Amino acid sequence: MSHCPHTHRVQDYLDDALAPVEALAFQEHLESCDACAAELVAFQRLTDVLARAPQWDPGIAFTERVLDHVVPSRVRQRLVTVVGWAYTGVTAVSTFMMFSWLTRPETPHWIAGRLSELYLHALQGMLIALHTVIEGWIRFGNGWDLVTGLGERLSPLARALSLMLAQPLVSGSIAAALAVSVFTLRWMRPRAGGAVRSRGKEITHVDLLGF
Amino acid sequence: MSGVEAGLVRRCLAGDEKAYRELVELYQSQVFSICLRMVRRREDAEDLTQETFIRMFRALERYDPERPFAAWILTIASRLCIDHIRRRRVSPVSLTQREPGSEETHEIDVPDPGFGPDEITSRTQEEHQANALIQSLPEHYRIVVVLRHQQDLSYEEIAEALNLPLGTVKARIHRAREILKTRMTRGNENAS
Repeated sequence: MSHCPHTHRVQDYLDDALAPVEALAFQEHLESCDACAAELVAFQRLTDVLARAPQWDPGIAFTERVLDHVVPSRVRQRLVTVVGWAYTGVTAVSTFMMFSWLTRPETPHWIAGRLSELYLHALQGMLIALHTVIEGWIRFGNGWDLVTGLGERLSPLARALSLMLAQPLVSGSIAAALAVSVFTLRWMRPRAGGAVRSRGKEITHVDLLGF
Repeated sequence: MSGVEAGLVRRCLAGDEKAYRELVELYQSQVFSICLRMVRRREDAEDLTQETFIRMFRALERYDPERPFAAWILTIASRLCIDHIRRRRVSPVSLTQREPGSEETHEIDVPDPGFGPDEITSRTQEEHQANALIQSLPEHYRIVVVLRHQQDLSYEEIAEALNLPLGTVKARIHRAREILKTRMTRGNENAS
């Protein structure tokens, strides 16, 4: 078989990768070139053989295995199953260990000893609490004596204040000042929906206070 | 994307679990075959096929319906296979050898390892021949031949799937065919 410089174009021709004009020219060339024609036959034969290569089906069981990993409800079910088995396993092991421990001969003595210690500590705690409460009341009583003593010392000042407040002018001024304060604070209170003036400019009452 | 696949994808996104099954059944043979051809061990091929579907369903919301669905899922499978081969350092027997300082390779005679008896059930001599030919290729040639001749992907789709330049894909396919043609001719001569 003689060598032809166009043989390398056989694959492009088979792949339809040549431009229409080039393909037509190559087709004409094939009629007169034994080397390229033989190459074409060989590649066509190869393409036929490759097309016969089988595809394998992994089977229904495999399909189910894949679906277990991709279908949302099955994924959830798998998760629940795994968690459920893990919980069951841990519970079973814990129960077995607890049962084994409880059936050991020294366990009841150990439990009794721990319970005695627990009762003792609880009793001690209660006594300490009771002692603390009683002592607190005693200290409070002593403290009340101090308060009454202080009251007696401050009683002249209280009497002077009461005499001053008995004056109608003073008490009236104080009452008027209180009323004005209450009105001002009420006017400054936050209102539902904000305070929007008719011009559309929003006024927050907190702004008036300078905060 | 065909109407069937578009409908299946829409149903999957809507939560129809029957559509999941139909989509898996539609593509599991193609995906499994590629994986088995690339990694050769059935257990590995099953794991890779499963991973392909898991990734495909996870990414289904981001799938571009303008792209062919087959090309998309085979892209996922191919990349997983290549990663697996790199990770496991699976080194199939290469039938080509590169000359020092040259890009050109030439064929060397090495017995074809083929599939093990558990991996393959060739029903005919021709199927066996096709399998042996494909399996005799180094993996970088094998993947392009499988995608081109078994899965009918275009050069552009193969280039995108394997993240390779179009020229490289074309060169590899041409080179792989040359190798296969030579092997096939030699096999026929030996048989006769």
